[in-house]
Amino acid sequence: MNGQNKPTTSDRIERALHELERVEPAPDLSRRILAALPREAQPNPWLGVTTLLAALIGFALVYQTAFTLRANGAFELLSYYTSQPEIVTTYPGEAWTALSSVVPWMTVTISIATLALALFLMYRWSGRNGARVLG
Amino acid sequence: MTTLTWNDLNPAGYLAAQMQAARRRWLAAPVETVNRSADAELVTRHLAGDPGAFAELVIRYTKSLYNIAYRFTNDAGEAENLTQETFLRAWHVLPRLALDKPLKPYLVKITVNLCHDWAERKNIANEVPLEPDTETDLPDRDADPLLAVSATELRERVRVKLELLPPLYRTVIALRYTEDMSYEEMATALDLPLNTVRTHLHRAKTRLRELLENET
Repeated sequence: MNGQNKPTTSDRIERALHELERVEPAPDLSRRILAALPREAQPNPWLGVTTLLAALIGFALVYQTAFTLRANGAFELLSYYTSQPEIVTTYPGEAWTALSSVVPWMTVTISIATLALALFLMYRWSGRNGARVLG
Repeated sequence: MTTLTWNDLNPAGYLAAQMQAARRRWLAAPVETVNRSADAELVTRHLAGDPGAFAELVIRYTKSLYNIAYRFTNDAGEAENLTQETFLRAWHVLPRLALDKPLKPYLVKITVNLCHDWAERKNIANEVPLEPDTETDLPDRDADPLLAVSATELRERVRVKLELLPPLYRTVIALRYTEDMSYEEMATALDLPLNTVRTHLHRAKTRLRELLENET
């Protein structure tokens, strides 16, 4: 202000800027923005249940596979191979054929796949429920 | 735990709060600490899986970000798109944010970057001349015709002439006067040095005054 306490042009423009109002958006803009957010923005209540089921099925399949391997004698065969490795080195083809005949490959594959799925779902579930702060 | 409601975002009350905040800024009152804590709480709740937390952030900052985007683009539709894009990006990067830093400058930074990208796509020049800064104000003349203009009319003229400024000048004025951001927050949001921000704001007001005086 000048010596006569009258506002200068600079002061008046400054005041006009301070009184500048926001440009108002459409009333429903927030709602539209929220509707456009990814579906993952909303926590999936079924994610935890699915994770638990996958883990249970995976462990059940692993148990079933282990039981089948034991019943087929796969563990005894592996123990025999490790105690006498020269059998494997001398007759690798026959050793592999014998071992593969007692391994239920389909069950093993499904067990590994189910456990991998359970681990992935657990990672997703823990990621949505844990606060991560990186500086 | 404080829950944000629409009553807390009364637009008329917010304008009055802006004027209050401007006066408080001169008094160096630590107002920003309260908002920073509330933002950190909302971000923490969002990361913990609270579906309403991000919605509160959207409600809290939609008007601010829209205002900044509109000041830059002068287009309501583009401003809406840029505001929506800002929140979409914010939703993805929130887990990497440091909760001890203010959220608003970061959101504004996203909006400003999107505005620059928009200007590039539209081939709109948003750079300002790099002539040496004199940092001198235009002299106030006793016979200044603007002195005869009423406050209401001057406010309207300022609003109109503001749209004639370059996008960057419109943005710095919006950040400073309608969003009540400090120079430090503006520097963070614009990714510019502090002195550069001050220079841009000074030049913006100088240019605005020239436009106003040329009209009278």
